[in-house]
This record gives sequence, structure tokens and C-alpha cells, in this order.
Amino acid sequence: MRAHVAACAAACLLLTACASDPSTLPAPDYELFRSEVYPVLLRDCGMSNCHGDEERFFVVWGPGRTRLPVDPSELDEEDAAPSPFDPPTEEEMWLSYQRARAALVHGGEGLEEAPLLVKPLEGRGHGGKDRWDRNPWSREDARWQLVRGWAAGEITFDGGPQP
Amino acid sequence: MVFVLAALAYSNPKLFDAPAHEGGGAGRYYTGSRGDGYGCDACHGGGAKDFALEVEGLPLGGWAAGATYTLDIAWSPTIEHASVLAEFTDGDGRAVGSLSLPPEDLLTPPELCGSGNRAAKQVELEDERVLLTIGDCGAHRLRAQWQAPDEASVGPINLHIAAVAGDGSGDASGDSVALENRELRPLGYAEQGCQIADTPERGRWGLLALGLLGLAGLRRRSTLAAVAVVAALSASACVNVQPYERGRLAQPDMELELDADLMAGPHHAVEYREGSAGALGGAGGGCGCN
Repeated sequence: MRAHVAACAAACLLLTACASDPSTLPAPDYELFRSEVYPVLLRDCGMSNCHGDEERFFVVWGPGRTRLPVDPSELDEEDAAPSPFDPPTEEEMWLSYQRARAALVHGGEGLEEAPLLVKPLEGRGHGGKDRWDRNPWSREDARWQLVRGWAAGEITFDGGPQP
Repeated sequence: MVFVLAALAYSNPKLFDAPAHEGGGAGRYYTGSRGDGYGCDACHGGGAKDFALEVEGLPLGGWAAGATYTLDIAWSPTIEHASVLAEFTDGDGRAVGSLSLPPEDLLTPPELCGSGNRAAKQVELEDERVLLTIGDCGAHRLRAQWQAPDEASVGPINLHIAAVAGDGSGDASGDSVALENRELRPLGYAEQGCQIADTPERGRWGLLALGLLGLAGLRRRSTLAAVAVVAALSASACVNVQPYERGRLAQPDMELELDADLMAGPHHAVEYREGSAGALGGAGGGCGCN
């Protein structure tokens, strides 16, 4: 009887185990995101019909792409309405960072299985293939390695290895 | 009240090369070529009308090596905001042939911006791509001369055209997109032919298998014959045979028959019985025609 209870308890524990603990939300370097990672994500992911679409889970906002809504009442009187090509606002940068780190949550299989890193690779169910049926990145791609290194905390803002 | 700022059409071709965080394409021109991948429909779309382009001057019947053709792309003058890009690429997305824009004195009014300046620009990129670009400036015609490569062995090439007709709203929605990929083949290009093997190694194995087959026939060894047939089948493959390769196939040593003298009698009997001659496997076509 004691063995059955123990087995049931173990099974319940297994069933209720949470694959990703909210407390483990990754917090990679924000400064490196601003300077290096954000332009890469904006270039290769942020097109309006791709991850510039605000209906998506992972979104990148920025100039030349989709801009965050602006409340005119928050603009000073002398401020003109921002141009679509104005530099990214702090809100756009911060929100893009938050969406990117949310896409780094994984189910315990390892960081490289996080959606942000795995979906741009070949054969991983990414809807946004190009016109030649190719995914945007491969593991050898310098852009993918930059994002992976940033997510893993292996590179810092000055480009050197994490101390 | 909240309003949304979305992507503006790249009215200035320089923006395609500008850094992404400055609103540029960071090297992406969105022509849909192999060198680019994505087309302008990655952002733009939702236009109510089709954006029709008239494309003329293409060697649709086949391009001749070294020949020059005049590409002529035009669109309706009623379209107020249009951007057009074009590039000729090989199978790897690199520029193929050479491009040149018309001299100033031969430009027609539709090729000019509202300011009177030439609208078309030729942009050479670092990754061996050369593009023709027209920004949103009031022009509605793009002409350029394209000289085909000197060697037909380049094979089929692609002309990619990407165009956006903006609705003037300043965002990427409500724009009409035209994306074309036209394959242009060299003159006499054969889609697919058959020969004994696609690589020299497989060819040697195929010849060995044929030798085994002959030996098995002489010695009446069925097992050996079966092995030889399997080997010959696995060594064979279909590949493209270019017209200039047919001369080699027409040479006497390319005859598959081991002993032509021995088969002359049966062939003669077949010809007598059928009342017709030929179609018995003779090689030919060395001139490049069928």
C-alpha cells in the first residue's frame, strides 16, 4: 500500500511539473540587445507581415517597420508627429526586448530549443520561409550565433566573453 | 486618440542599404531573388487593385551568349506612388551578364522623375548583386540594356522584378505589390536528356556493368547477368545534355552496341520485315539540333 501511494505521489509530481518556471525568465544583457541584437531582429524578423505584426507573440517594433502607437496627447506642443523613420523610441526598444526574452523561455530542453533560437532554423516549423522555401538563419549564420551568444550570456556589451 | 505609425514604402532606394535601426533594409532589397529571399510582400500588401507591369524586350525564346537585350518595364501613369526593382541573377542569386542604363539624351519622359532627373539607378552590392531601382518620384518606365553572359553554360537565369504601388497613406498596408520571377534560358537549352551517368565515376561503373553483362551473355551465367543489370541500373542517371555536348555522344565510340557487325544481319531482317529503316539506337545530333 505504501508503495502504491509513493508511486501515485511520484506520478502526480511528474504530471504537475511545470516545464518552465516564470522565475527563470531569461534576462540577457539589455545594452547588448540595444546595440547589436535589436538591429538584427529588426532586419530579419520585423517585417510588417512577419514579426512586425502586433498580433504575434514575438514582435519587433522599429523605424521603417511597424511603430508603436503614439498618443498625440503625450506629445509636447512643439513636437511634430514622429516620422516612420525616426530612431526607435525607448518604449519600442524595451518592449521588443521583453518580447525577445519571452521567446527565450524553453521547456527545460536547453536554451537552443527556445523559440527565438530554434524557429528561424531549417525544419523547425517556422511559417516565415522566404520565396525559395528557406528559413532565415542556419546555426552557422553569424546573426544566429550573435543572438544565441547574447541569450546565453556568453558575450557582453563590449563584445568580449562574459567574465 | 491613438494613431499607428507603420512602415513607409522605401521611396528612396538608398534606404534599402541603410541600417535597420535607422529604418533601412540593412542590405535587403526584397526582390525575392535567391540572394535576398524575401519579396516586398513581406511588408506591403492589402491593395485593392493589382499592380500590372508591362515587361518587354526579354529573350523569351532563349538568350544568345554575348547578345544585348533591352529590358523595358512600364506601368500605368495613373499610379502616383510606385517603386520598382529588378535584377538578373544566376541560380545562386549572383548578378549575371552586365547591365547599363540608357544615356541621358535617349531618356523618354516616363523615365524621368517629376523633377526632370533620371529616375533609374544602378546599384552594385557587395555580394555580387547588381540592381536596377526606381524610387517613388513620378516615373513610370524603367529601361536598361542587359548583355547576356559570354557562355551559355551559365544555364537558365532569372529576372526578378519587385514593385510596390503605394496608396499614399505612408504605411505598408493598402499597397499593391507585383513580384515576378521570369526564367530565361539560353538558346537551345535542353530541359532534360538521358545519358549513361551523371559523373565520371558512375560512368566507369556503368561501363564495367555493361562489360559484365556482355561476359554473362557469352558464358550464359544468369546470376552474373542479374548482378550486371542491377549495377548498370544503379549507375545510370538522367542529366541535362547540352547541345554542345551532343558532338561527343555522336562519336562512334559512344555506340552502346558491343558488336555492330554482328547485329547488322538482325537489323537488316527487321528493316525488311517492317518496311522501314533506322531508329535502332544510332547516335546523332552532333550539330546541336534534334
